[in-house]
Amino acid sequence: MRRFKKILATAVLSVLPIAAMSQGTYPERPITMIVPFAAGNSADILARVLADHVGRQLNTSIVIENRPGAESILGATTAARAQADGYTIMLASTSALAAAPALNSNLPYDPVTDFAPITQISLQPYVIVVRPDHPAQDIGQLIQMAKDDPGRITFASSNTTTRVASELFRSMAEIELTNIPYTGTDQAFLDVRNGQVTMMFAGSTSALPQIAQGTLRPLAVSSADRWEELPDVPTLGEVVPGYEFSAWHALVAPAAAPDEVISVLNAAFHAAMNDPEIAAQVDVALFPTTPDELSATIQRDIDVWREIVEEAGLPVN
Amino acid sequence: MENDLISSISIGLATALTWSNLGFCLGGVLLGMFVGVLPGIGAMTAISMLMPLVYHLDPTSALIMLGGIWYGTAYGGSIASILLNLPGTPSTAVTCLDGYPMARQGRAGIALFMTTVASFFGASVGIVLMMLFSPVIVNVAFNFTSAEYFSLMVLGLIAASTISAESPVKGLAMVGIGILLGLVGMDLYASVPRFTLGFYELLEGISLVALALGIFGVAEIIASARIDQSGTLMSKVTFRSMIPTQDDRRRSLMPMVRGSGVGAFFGILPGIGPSIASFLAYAWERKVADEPQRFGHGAIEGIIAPEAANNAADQAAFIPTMTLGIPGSPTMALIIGVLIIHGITPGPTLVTERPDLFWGLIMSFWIGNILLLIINIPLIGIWVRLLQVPYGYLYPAVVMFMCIGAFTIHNNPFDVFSIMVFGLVGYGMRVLAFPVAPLILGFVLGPLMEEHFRRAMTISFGDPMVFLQRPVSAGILAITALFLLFSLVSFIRTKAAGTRARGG
Repeated sequence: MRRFKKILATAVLSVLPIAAMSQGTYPERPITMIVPFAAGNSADILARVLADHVGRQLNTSIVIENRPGAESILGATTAARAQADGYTIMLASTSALAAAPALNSNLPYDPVTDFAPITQISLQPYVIVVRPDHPAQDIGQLIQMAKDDPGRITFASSNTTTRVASELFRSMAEIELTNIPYTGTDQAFLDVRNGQVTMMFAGSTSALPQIAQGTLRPLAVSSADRWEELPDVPTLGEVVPGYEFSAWHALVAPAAAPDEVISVLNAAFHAAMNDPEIAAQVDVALFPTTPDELSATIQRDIDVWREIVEEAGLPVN
Repeated sequence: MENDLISSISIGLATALTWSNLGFCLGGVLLGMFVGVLPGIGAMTAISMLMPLVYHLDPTSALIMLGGIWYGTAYGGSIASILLNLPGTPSTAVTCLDGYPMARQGRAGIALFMTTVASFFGASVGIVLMMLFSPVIVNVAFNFTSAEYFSLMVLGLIAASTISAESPVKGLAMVGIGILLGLVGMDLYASVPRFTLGFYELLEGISLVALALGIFGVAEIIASARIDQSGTLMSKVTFRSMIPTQDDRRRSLMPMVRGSGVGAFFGILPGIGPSIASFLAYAWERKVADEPQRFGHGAIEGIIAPEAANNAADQAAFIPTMTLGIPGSPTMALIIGVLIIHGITPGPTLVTERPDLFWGLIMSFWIGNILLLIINIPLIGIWVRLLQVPYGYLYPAVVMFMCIGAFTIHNNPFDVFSIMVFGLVGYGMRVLAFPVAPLILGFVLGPLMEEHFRRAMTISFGDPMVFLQRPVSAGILAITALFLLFSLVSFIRTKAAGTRARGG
């Protein structure tokens, strides 16, 4: 989908160990994959599509266990306390691994020390959208409008991640914005479209069809590079230097999981993510990485979140 | 236009009438009806369990089956409500109020027959709306902002306060407690947990299923276990005993029409759904009834209106889901998820890009509802016979199903404990004659009302006039004011009449 294809090289190399591992013993029985989201959620769909493919590859089955609730904290706690034998893994998102530690002081698990990273699964940048007839023609004009009339520009946030993406924008652009929280993206889209709210950070899957239909207008994307689908839309970093923000999904195991298991799973999931058929079935950009790269991403994003939570004065529970 | 509709219908029929799709439709409605009868296990659970299968199906077949489960539960849910006083699904909770008394009077057969007919009627209204007016309706939903939603919630709450007949004060108190329970969880605006007592399990609020099953179901079972009920219910249901009397038929017609209207309206609004629709349909019937005191004692209007409403809402909920891509409920979100797996994005272009899917689904609704009607009527006798199972076996089995139902939502034992706690609370309320239906409505409406009130106020930068400046919102508030005025007048009149009667 995007320029992430450069990771392909890593993936091709990582397929090699599969042959060597196939004589090994792991996995001897079905693997449980904890998904801290409800069945049918986009993370759940991602997990199921990948689990199906990887299960066939490893001659076992991967059973999805949905543990939704409390912004992924319940599921992540279960995964952190599971036996570290490689038969329990978790497909989590930014919520459990970066947002929760920044927003909770007494988290029942530690995202860094309680989990062994396996591979990043997806990378989900956002696009800032406004209604088609909004007076701001580009992101620069929107920032100027916010400066002229502080607080009058509102943004819809449908979860903590989009809230933090927006707060980071507000802070780095040195403007004032008013947060209008929503319980889901759907009502938020409606209110941006009918002009109740000025702007929102939206995910590509839900935003791109509406942009194509002309019911929403893109102003900027949150990733480091422009999107293939929206070549004329600048990155936010072009206007607000240094801005970059994306959400992601990642695969982790309990911390003490054997290295062999980590490399088998890393290779198997990379093979699945590089299958074009899989890429067509999921609605996010797949982004395979090494365990070390994932570890660095988690640590970096925890720091980013802590900083913005403190700067924006979000309450820490 | 007319030709368009006819050709669309024929595309739809061609899709829906293939043998495999007929099979998926039948399978879906049967499964839906079955899980609807089982208390606590609803469409959501059944659809989640089928998710792995859905990946390997053709998207149209998958949707036809999942749709069948979704509206099939509304038929099944009323069965448990009427026979056992246990809401099979939250949207049939209000059916308990008059359905169960009817069963106690030996009129279970009629109640089940008439709810089936009302369900079919409501569903038909929903489907016709979807066929003819999807684009218009979508515009209505599109222009509803938080100000309109808030005004609607106020109307709902005022109407709700009249649900309990016996004591308006107790009814209001229960609405209040319901709102308080609804506030448990993360405060959306401040991101601070409220009343969670340190339980992470409560961050997303109390589970509606656990609450409804506990205060209705467990409480009923505890109460029933204390009294010997042998011989209070009819032992045999003949086809003759299911035939409603002339009086029943006469009383049912208008509630059916009004209920369907209420249901269709609320069904299209994202986030409202069949539960609220069924409660409001009930409240409206009480309001217009000649003898409101019959409600709660087996008034047939009290089951017809909510059953027509929840089925109409179930069907109408597909309108925003399919045409705007905006799911009105978690179950509808699951259905959108299924479309996305197959590379289809629901939205305004779906109807033109995939007419086979859109019209095939609609035509399958007709087939499914007709199947439900045909299957349901002969089954009534069997369902009623369920009551002949000795309570010593029936009740433990029901409690087990309720626990499974609550557990499967989050795969978390916490919800099972919640059921038990609410069961005891519900029993306490029963003993003290506090009505629990208004509590459920307060629970559902309270948090929505708060969300929309605060959002409308933030968007207007703190100006409360926003509720009066928007014409639709102002109109709804005016209706609410009239409603209050009428209630007051009729209250004073009955009071006066009562005083005269006693004085004379």
